[in-house]
Amino acid sequence: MVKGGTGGVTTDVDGHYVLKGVKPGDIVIFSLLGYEDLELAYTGQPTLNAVLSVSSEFLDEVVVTALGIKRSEKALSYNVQEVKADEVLAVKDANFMNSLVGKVAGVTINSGSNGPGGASRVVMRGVKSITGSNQALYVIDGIPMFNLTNASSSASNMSDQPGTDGVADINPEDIESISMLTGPSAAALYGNAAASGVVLITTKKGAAGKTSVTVSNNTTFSTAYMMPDMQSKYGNLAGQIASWGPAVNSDYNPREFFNTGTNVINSVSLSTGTDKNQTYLSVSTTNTTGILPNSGYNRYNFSGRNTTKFAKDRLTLDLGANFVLQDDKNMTSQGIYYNPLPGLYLFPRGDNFKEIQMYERYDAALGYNTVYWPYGNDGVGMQNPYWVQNRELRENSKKRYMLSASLAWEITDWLDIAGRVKLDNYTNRLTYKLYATTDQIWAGPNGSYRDVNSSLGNTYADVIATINKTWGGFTLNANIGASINDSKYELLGLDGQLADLPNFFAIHNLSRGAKYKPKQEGYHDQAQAVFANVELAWKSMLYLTLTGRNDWESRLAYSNYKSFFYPSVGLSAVISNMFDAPKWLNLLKVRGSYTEVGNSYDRYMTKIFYPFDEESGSWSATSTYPNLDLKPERTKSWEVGLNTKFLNSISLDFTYYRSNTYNQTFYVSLPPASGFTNMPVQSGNIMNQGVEMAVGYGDSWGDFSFSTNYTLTWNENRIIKLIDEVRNPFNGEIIPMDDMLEKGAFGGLDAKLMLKEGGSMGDVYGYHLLGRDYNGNIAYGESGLNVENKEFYLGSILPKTNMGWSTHFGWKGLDLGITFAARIGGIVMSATESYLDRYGVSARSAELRDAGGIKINQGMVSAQEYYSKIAGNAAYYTYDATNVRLSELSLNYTLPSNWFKDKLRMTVGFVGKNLWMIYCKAPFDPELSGNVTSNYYQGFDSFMLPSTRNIGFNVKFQF
Amino acid sequence: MNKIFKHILTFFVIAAASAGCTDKFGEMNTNPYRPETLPVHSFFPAMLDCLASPEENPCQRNNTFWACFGGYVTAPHSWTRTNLYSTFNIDDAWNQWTVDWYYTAEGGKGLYPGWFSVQRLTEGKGYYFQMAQLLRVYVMQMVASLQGPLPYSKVANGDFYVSYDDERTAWHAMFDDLDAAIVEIQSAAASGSAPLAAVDRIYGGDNVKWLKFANTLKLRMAMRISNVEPEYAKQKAEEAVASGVMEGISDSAYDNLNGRYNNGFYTLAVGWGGEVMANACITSYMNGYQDPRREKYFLPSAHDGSYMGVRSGIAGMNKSNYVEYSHMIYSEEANKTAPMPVMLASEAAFLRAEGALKGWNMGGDAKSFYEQGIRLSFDQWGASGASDYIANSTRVPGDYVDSKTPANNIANKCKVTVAWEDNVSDAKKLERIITQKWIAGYPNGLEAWSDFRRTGYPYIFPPKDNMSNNEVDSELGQRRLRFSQSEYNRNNDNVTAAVQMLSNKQDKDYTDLWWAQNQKKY
Repeated sequence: MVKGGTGGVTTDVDGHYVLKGVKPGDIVIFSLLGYEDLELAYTGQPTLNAVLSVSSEFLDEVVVTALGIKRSEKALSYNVQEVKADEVLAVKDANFMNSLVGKVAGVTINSGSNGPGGASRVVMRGVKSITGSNQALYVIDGIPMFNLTNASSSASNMSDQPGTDGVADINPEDIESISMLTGPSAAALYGNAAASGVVLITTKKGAAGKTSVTVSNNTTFSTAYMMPDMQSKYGNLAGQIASWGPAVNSDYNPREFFNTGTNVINSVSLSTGTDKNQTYLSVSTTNTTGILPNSGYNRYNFSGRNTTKFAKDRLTLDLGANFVLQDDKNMTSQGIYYNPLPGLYLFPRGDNFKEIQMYERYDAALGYNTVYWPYGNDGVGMQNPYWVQNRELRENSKKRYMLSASLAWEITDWLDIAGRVKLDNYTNRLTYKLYATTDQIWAGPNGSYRDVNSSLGNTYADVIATINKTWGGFTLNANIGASINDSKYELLGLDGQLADLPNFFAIHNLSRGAKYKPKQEGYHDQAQAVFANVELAWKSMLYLTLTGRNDWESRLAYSNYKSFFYPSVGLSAVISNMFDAPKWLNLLKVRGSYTEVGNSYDRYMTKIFYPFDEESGSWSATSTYPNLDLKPERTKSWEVGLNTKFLNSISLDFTYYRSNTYNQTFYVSLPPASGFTNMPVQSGNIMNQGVEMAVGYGDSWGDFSFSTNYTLTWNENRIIKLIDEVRNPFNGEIIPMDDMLEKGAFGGLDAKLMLKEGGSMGDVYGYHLLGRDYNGNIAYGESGLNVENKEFYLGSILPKTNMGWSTHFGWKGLDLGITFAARIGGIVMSATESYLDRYGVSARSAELRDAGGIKINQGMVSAQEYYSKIAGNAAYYTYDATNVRLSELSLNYTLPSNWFKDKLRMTVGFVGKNLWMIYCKAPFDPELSGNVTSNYYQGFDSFMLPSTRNIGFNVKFQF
Repeated sequence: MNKIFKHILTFFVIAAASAGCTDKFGEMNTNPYRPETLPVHSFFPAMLDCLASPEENPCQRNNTFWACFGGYVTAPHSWTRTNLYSTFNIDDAWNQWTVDWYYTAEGGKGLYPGWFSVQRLTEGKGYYFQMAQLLRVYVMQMVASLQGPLPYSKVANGDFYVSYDDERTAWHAMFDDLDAAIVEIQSAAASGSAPLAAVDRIYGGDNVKWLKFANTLKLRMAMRISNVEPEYAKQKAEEAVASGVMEGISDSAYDNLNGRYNNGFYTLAVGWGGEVMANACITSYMNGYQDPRREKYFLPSAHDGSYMGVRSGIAGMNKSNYVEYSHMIYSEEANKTAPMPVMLASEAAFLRAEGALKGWNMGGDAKSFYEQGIRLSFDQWGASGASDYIANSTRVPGDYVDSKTPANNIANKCKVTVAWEDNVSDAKKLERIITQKWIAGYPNGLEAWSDFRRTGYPYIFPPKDNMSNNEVDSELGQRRLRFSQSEYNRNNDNVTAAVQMLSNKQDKDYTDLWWAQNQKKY
């Protein structure tokens, strides 16, 4: 419009405009929502082009924070990182969390090694809890989701194989955006469950005014990527399993066992709506087959959402429903239980694998097929790999529904009140069918059967009043609310050996003798809370936020503490609004916050309950000394940070944080003569400090656009204090405690993870080394090499730094996305390599034989002797975990819409994942997790499934 | 405005009401599927597990690992380790398993979780408590025979850091506790009551038999310390015999399992794929004697049909190389749930034979008890030909001939025949008694190892590879188990003091126990 004139014109979509009646000397004002107004003088030129700069007021994006409360980004005193749906959808994974690797600072994501759909390990700002899982909390549309992982509670190389988790059930297509709240400050309003950070997921709603249908297909193929190097030159001696015999030059290639996995995701979604009512519906199918034969994961998602406004737009009703059907078969992660890899990798090279491929043979006397595997398990879980996949069936099927309703009532212009309810219920059935002649470590002579049903019901409800008032320069924004979160879990099942009828898998055919294990577990937890969040703003420059929450938890019942309170305080200053900032500085914000988060201990700890011993089938005495005087745990943390945007195209976010977790509840070992193995104590101080940094640049020039984002995470974990004064609850004496806590061993290697003061929660120690002589050379005596007992520090399984770098190039409809991810520091260990060496099937062992042995201390030691001595000793199987990879590559092309007369938008793309391991010294993918729920059984490979390289394409139509 | 305040008020009422309703929290935090109290008898099954260790892991640890020192079984596998009991170089991690488990293990297993529960519920009085005491003495005499000094008399509920008794104090304290238990069981036996009938897998609650069990245990313990406390041992042994020890095979104590577990040896041999085999030592002796009990004890080897056990103590051995050797009889499918021996009547007879040899009043002479021991053993196993066996004066124990791997062969230094001879030295008589006691005692490895350490008999084959860096003498064998590393970690002051109670003040595998000073006989 012309300054001083009336009426203006609006440009078309491409920005063309025609403004009539303009005289030279007039000032033309260009304005656009979200941009600074621009005044240009008209000097008679035929065209007047204007480039508007982004307004700092509108730079202020609204982000979703705790409880679904929308906040202006400027006001936040803590770090929130938002990831848009396209980042998640570009390279789809059956578990969408795996698509976030390298895209968010402060978060470490490790995919489970059990293939598509497997649970992932997501840890924010370091491991804090000694006994808790340290996994982030997932929140969907403001409501915490109960994320039960289908994994065995014990993590070792002799555990059952882990499965999927609740998060993997989410259809990535339904996701609008994801906010990562990495620190406890951000999560203070969620209470203790959020002490390890929050993944906030906002799902799609219908959009007003238009109807669109999106149909997409995403198909990827996965192949085994990082496999150990093995040999097939030397065979075994007759009657022996280990391949330490003469050269046979076998053509045996273990890689041929693996299939090409497929991962097909189809989805259809519909979005429609008017001003008053919007609807979103979607259906998706995810069908995957793993790289192991006869394994896979399937999921069917149905979701719908309807948002309605009524009563003069003062009431908004939002209804949502989700239904998920999911099943999986033979998900395999690692270890020597139910894993085909020990038999596959260690197979004697002098023998004929074709014989093994005919994995079962009819036994006329028995009347059924029996396994063909003439080697036994050899103590390392060796089984016929085909039998494991076809006759040791491990299946899950899950039905899950989630219903949600929320009603928001705008009472006045400064007060509204909203209530929400969500039900999340699922049932899961797990079956194990082990056919007759399966190795008797796992199965009875006629086979074994396990059938376990579990169900979970979670109800969450809250009500929140929001007050928004402005006086002069001050704005008050307050949320006051109450919530209730109620979870019920029931598990019922039977496990045992089959009785008279071989291979007839029914409860009535279970033998009632030894190994008959009835299973029953259950709980009912409830947490109630009142909370308040008060934000006081002064002139869009200074924001003070105070939060407080009081929790009442059923887990505290019978203790001396009925409830606990925890506060947080934060301050955010938008410096760039405080003075007349130069044009190039779009935003400069500094922020700081301090938070305390309380945490209850586990349920059933305030009274004594006698356990049931499954193995013997009887009630038993408790070997845990009862310590009923427990108090809630506490994490105190603070963070300071900086958010900047300048030159309209560059952003830099930086956060430094430190958190200390006190009074953790964990078990310390007691001397056996006390009559107890352990006792819960509350002690310790675990510190995490670190830096989160994100640097971004994005701009466009005509048809060309470019954006790049770099994230950096540095975390240091330190055990400041492990055990302070612990008193004997019986007689009040101070009891002397170990200054260390053993947190598990790594089966197959001698290493142990030990917590010691001054160390970290990832410190691993080894215990054996080859003996050395007085000159420090490896000793070679009469009995050959000898192995000495010696404790020494191997390293930490925790990463020092994680980095990610993603870049997008756009040209017309073409978009190229590249993501690199790197992890620096830490160690990983491989028991697989140790087994391969011991059995003479590693490529190294053949090379050493070719060379005639290894030169040690002037003499030659045979490969067999050398490897039989070093095998099993972690000192020789520890690797630097540092790795750099091209983690994602996507090339998408949106066909020009005028080809379809603007009726249709079509995008086709090529995607690749794990395409190139640029740097890695470990013999396996160090970022894979064998058991995502364990804090300590990480960075360890014991016949872990190889990581996969995925390549595929996607097609998307939008009407 | 009024209306608005009403709404706000309503909201807070709802909020307060929902947060205030915590009445059900107690119920929620009570585990619906786990009891808060258990009846006193329910603690006995786990304590009974400590006698024969039928569960698979304890069976492997307590009946095959160090138990190979008894010459009955071989654990023919190295589990990818260089440190094994059988090669005399066990490491700290495995060394602690047995003793720690006997005290306390996860899931309320081991002796003390149950024992403390019984003590609490009975206030340390009465039949239940005294039966728990009997079991405690049984388990702790095993621990004392394994490691020497032990926490015993100072053990008390709520006291985490227990000091050790020196061996003499511990054995005396165990005799005192055992005597008190015998008094209680005696009166229960007289009354005919059987309070433990439902859970007693050994005698079904029969206290007449428990009384014989307790007295036989007392006799065993007396014999154990007879070298160092001869007078006290004589007194205790004579008391035991006077009160009544096991005499017939129906007195023998077996863990009948009752479906609680499968036979542990079966599980190790079959379920775990040959992790226990017959030991070369006992098959060689029995081959030499052409002992009719061979076919009752073992399966013939699949290699040549002979009874050929596996030589113990081969570094790096792998079970896949020994599948064709002789298995224990428990690896037969029919023996999947076979009862596991705890203490046999034949042991009582041999103990009395040895006692008589010492001049103790055992109610008979050495020869008759010796022959009775052999007969009881034959009867126990359903073997025939005891008389011929007893009368044979020519056959001597055989050398070990490994027809598959001759490098494992070893000559047997024991040349004692079976038939009793009156006109030989006491040493020869003792060699004869202990040799036959040893064959009859199969498969109780601890008794065999203890007798070997105490008397030097029989000749137990040394390991093929002694990996102890010359610390442990191959012929004398390992003399004890070291104290648990867990004790050094958690109870350091007390275990350090206990080291000073050892014969050479060194916590080593070669350290002699109080009652087992160097007895090299071959």
